[in-house]
Amino acid sequence: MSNILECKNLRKQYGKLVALNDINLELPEGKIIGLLGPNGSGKTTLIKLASGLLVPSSGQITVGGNAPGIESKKIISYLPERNYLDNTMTVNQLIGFFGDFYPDFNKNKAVDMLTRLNIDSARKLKTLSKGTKEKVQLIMVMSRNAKLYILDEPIGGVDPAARDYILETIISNYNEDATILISTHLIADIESVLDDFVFIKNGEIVMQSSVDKIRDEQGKSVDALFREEFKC
Amino acid sequence: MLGKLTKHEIIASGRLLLPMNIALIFASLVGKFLIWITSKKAFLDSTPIAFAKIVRGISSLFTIFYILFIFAVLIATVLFLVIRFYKNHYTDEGYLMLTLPVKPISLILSKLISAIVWSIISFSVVFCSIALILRTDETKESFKTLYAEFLKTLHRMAPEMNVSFGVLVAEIIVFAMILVITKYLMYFTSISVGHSYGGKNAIINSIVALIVIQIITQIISSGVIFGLSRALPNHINTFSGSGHALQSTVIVSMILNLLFCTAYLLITNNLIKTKVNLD
Amino acid sequence: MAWDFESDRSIYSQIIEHFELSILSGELLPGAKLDSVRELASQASVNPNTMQRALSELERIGLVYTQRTNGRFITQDLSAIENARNNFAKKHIIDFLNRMQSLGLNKAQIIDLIEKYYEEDLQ
Repeated sequence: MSNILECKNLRKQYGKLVALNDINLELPEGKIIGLLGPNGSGKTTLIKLASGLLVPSSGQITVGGNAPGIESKKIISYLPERNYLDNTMTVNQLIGFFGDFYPDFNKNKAVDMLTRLNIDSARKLKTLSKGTKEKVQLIMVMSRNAKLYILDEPIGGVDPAARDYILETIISNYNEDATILISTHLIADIESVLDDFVFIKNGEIVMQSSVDKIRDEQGKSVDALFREEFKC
Repeated sequence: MLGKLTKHEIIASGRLLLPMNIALIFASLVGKFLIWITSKKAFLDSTPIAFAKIVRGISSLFTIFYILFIFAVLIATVLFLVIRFYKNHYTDEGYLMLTLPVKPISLILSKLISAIVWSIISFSVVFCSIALILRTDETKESFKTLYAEFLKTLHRMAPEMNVSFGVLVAEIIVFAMILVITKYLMYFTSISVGHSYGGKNAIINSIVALIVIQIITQIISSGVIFGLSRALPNHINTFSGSGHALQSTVIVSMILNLLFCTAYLLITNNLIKTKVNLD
Repeated sequence: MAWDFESDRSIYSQIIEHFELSILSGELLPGAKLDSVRELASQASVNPNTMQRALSELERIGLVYTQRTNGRFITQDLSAIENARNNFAKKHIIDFLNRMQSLGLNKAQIIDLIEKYYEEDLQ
C-alpha cells in the first residue's frame, strides 16, 4: 500500500511562533484517518499546507507524489470549517462551477444527494440556513472522486441528526482508492468510523496508530486515550 | 482553465453590474421622457400651473439624481471589481478559489479581463445613456457638427504625428486600454501587498501601498520622460508641441505602463502563491 | 441508527459479536442475504474496512459465506451455528463463573443460585 501524503521534516513558523515543528508523517491510501488534537495544535496548519494554502518554511510535503500545486489540487477534495462558497450563486451554478474545474466531479451524485435532502437547487446559497449550507458544502466535496478528502471539523456545532447524516455520507462515499482525513477534536462521535488516527500536539506528531489496536491493547477508546494524553 | 475562470468571473460580476447598467439605461429613458414632456409647451400650457411646476421640479431633481447615478455606476464598477479581487482571495472565499487546480496567474488574469470587459460595458452604457438624453431633434445638428469637428482634428493630427488616421485611432484605443489595465493591476497589487504584510491592519496597509505605488510610478514616469527629453530633445519634448514629440511621448508612456503592469503581475502572482494566510 | 459500541473493546470484535448474536437469536435466519459491506457499515456507523474485516472473520469461522455474484449470506450449515452457539455460551459462562468466583461463591452455591433464579426471575 502506498502513501497518499508524506511529510519530511515539515516546518511552518511565523516569526518566532512555530506552528509545525519538523514533522514526519505518512498517511496510507484507502483509510479513514482522524487528525486529532486540541485547537492550536497545528492541525489546521498541516491541512492548509497539504491543500496548498500555505507554503512550508522548510521541509517537504507531498500529496500523491506531488508537491502542493495544480497536480495535487486536482486530487484533493477539501472541506474547510467555514462557509466558503460564493453566496450569490445558486446551487445549480455551484454544481456547474465544480463540474467546470474538477474533472472528477460527479454531477449526478451531487444532484441525487441534494434531492434526497429536499434542497431546491435553484435557490441562491445566501437564502439557505447555515446548516443547509454546510450540507451543500459537504455534498460538493464528497461528490468528487478524489484521492484525498480533507474534512476540517465536519461535525462541529451540528445537531445529532445532521451529524448522523454527515457520518453516513462519509461512510457511503468511502472508496478503497482514496483516503479520508478528518480533523476534529470531537473524537467520541467519529471514533467508530476511523481506521487510524494521528495525535498532534504543539506542532508535533505524538502518536499514530489504529483505533482497534489501541482498544485491543489498552482496553480503552481513543477518546479516553486522548483525554489522558492531552490533559490540561 | 483561464477561459472558465474568466467566464465565471464575468457572470458573477454581472449579477450586480448588469442590473446596475440596465437601471442606468432605464433612468435615461425616464430622463428623456421628462425632457420631452417639459419641452412640450402646448402640453404644459394646457395644464394647471401647479402641475407644471411639479413636473419641472421633478425634472430638476431627476437631473441631479441622474448625474449622481452616472458617477455611482462608474465608481461602483471599479470598487466592486476591486473588492471582488480582495474577497475571492483574502477572505473565506479564498478556501474555494485558491484550492482550485489552476495557476495563480490565471486567477489574477481572469479578474483583470473581467474588469476590462465590465469597464468597457459601463463606459459604453454611460456614453449611450448621456447621448440618449442629450440628443434630441434640436441638438441633432450640434452633435453632428461636434462629431465632424472631432474627426477633422484627428485627421489633422495624424500626419503631424507621422501616423495614418487609422493608426492614430488604434493608438488612442490601445492607450486607453493600457491605462485601464494599469489602474486595475495597481489596485490588485496594493491589496495583495497590504494583505501579505499587513496582518491586522491589512486594509490600511493596502491603501498605503496604493499611495506608495502611485508615487513611485509617478516618479519613475516623470523621470524617464524628463530624462529622455533631455537626451533626445528632438524626439521627446513635451513642451515643444510638435506632433512628432507627442507621438514619441505617447509611445514611451505606453511602454512604461506595460512594464509597470508586468511588475504588478509578477508581484501579485508571487504574493498569492506564497503569502496568503486565510483565517 | 448506529449500533451501540462499548469504548473499551475493539470495534472489530464487537461487530463480530453483534452478528453472532443476531444469528444465534434467530434475528438473522440461516440463508438470509446480507446487505453490502458499505450499507452495513453505514447502518452500524462504522468504518467500512472494519466491517469488511469482521465479515471476513465471520466467513472464516463458517457463519457467513460469499456467493461470487450474489453477495453474502448467513450459513445454512446448522452445525456451524450450533458450534458458534456453544463457543459463545462457553465464553460468557466462563466470564460469569470467574466473576462469581471472585465474589467468593463455590460451585454448589453457584448452581443453587442459578436454579433458583432460573425458576423465579427468568423472563
